Amino acid sequence: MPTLNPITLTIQTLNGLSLGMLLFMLASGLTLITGLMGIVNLAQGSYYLLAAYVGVSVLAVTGNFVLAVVVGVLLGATLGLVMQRFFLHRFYQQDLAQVLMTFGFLFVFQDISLAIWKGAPVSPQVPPLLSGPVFIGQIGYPSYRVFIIGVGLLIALGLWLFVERTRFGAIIRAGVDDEEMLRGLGINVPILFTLVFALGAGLAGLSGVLGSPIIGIYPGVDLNVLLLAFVVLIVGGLGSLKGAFLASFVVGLLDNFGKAFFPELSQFTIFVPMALILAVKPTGLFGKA
Amino acid sequence: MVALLGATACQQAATPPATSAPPAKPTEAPKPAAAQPTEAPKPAATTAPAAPVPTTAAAQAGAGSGEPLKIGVLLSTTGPFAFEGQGGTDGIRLYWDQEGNKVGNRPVQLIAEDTAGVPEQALTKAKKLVEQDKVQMLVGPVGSNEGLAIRNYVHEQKIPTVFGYAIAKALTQDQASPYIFRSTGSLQLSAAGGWFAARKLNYKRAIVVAADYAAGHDAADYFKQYFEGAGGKVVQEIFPPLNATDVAPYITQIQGMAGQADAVVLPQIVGVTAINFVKAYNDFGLKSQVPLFTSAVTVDEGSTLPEEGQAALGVRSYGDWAPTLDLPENKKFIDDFRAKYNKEPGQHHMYGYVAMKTFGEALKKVGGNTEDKDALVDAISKVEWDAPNGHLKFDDKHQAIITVYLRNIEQQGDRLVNVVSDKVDGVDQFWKAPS
Repeated sequence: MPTLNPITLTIQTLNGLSLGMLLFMLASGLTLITGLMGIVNLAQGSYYLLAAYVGVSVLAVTGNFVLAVVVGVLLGATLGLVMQRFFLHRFYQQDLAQVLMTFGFLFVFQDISLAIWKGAPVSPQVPPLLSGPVFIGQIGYPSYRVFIIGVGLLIALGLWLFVERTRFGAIIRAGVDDEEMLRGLGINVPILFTLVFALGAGLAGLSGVLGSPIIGIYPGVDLNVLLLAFVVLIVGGLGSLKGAFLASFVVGLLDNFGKAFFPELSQFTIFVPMALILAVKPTGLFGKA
Repeated sequence: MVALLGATACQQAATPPATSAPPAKPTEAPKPAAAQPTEAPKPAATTAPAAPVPTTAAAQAGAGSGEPLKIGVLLSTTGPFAFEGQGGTDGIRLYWDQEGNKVGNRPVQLIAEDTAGVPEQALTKAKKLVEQDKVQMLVGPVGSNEGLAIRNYVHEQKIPTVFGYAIAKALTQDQASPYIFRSTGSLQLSAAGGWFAARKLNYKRAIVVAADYAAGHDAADYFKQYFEGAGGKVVQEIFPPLNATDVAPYITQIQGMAGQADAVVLPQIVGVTAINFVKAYNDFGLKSQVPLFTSAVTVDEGSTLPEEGQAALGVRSYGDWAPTLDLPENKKFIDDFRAKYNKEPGQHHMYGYVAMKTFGEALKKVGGNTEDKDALVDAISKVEWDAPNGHLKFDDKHQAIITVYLRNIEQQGDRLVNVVSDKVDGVDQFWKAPS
């Protein structure tokens, strides 16, 4: 049976946090888009997939991890920008058409990645500085996962400052609350949508490049991470960054402890708590009714 | 989604034969056909002298008409067994390249379909290949569940089928069929692995980690049975889902028990899970504490090992092949493979090659006549040849009898390879371990 000593529990918690931070990068973008535009972007996992593949290719050619991350983020943001500006924008306020279109993009991106990278799983090496373990007593922990937790916390802090303390952030919040009023105040809402979409997609790209050394890249990873990001979105409440942040921890930890203690039931341990939370609070932890 | 994935992958899989087969393309079939009638009786007469008259006539019709011999390649080029399927396809093509894409004078046409590792899709694609494309033989699929899914169909349709993987023991035991062959090691690999672990590596207590599906449980059971039979003890078994990605929770569970085990054994961990596991095992600092002992798929030169990189250095494994095996056939296989694909072959490429060449050897014996099924199946079951991984022959249930090698990963130049340190010959599916 699984061991329960304090050190393994601590490490399992760290595992959950590092997965949670990757999910947060993916879900924070998703929640901004959903909260503001009222649509669910089903292609969010595709930015993860494509950014991860491109990141690996950049890494293979240049050996520069930072460059790979930058290219991955820019790629995600560009894909999001193009998708929003030239496609979704045409169906302004037709939510169903927009969601279906993101669904279509999911398939298109899947096929593009299959055509280019052939579908064999790949997993990039982390930079030497972050490879190998740091030791907590006798027990080792990968320094790269510590790095991911750090990056995730920085992103969370940055997003919070951005949304709560800047004018642009205030506009986004206003848009989540009352989009019609916002337009009435003379804000160019279509441009706002496009920028937020690009921001969200860029964050997904970031999680793709950073996640690829531990999650790996393979056809289907887009759907796997999208599913977890949805759980985060639903548990946290649509449109709430704070909710996404907390829910990322909850989902990361549930996933991790579920796998550790009940490896054969690992899906169960995420979705049953999700169903319970929804039963008690249908809008999620921080969602608005 | 699956359908879309499948469709693209098929296109990819189906295009290469036309481009990668310069000598005798299937599309050039009409030309040899015109030249054939005069030559045709010769192979039929020389290769099947004892055959009764109708068979000879059929052989002439088959071999002489220049009608292409169609072989269905039923592998998964996407999904959890993408490595195995893609590699197997490469190996199959290599064999036909060596043979100029024909048996005697009969041109050979390969038709590939992607099963995506999904049993229902394997059956659908098998039916498509047999009924629509009229293939006369099948190679594949990879997954045990896929193999079981098509078993009854190929048996009833009398389509000779060779598996390179599909290790479910039923396929060559309870549900053995005259038409089904497995040309590479199956569960006897795990059996020999268990014996190696106890007797050659002197492990006393092991933690076993295997994927949570039929073949994973079978492999873990066989390992355990032979490991404990030789004096070892499995102290913990962990079954992550097939295609598990973040393996940290399992690794940490092992960390908590590290003091209780001499080895962590992976009898059946494949694909992206294998890569992530070996890397995480190193990243979590476990590699220096408890040795990792795996089956060959987890550390394969053609797929997983290059992705794992230095994290895999020094890892021990058991398998029925290694690129460093010093056998003439292995050298030829590797040289030809490098020349054709400009990359290093792995076990999956070798499995595809061996499966195809095993059928190819039988096809030569019957002069390319696939119409007489009984003679063909009889010829396949009697095939013996020196394969890249050792001498190949089938037992009476059509499972190859193999040599299992104990290997460990060394750095050679700029790449990592499995180097053989020990071996055990004549391992069949009912193997009795030396006491």
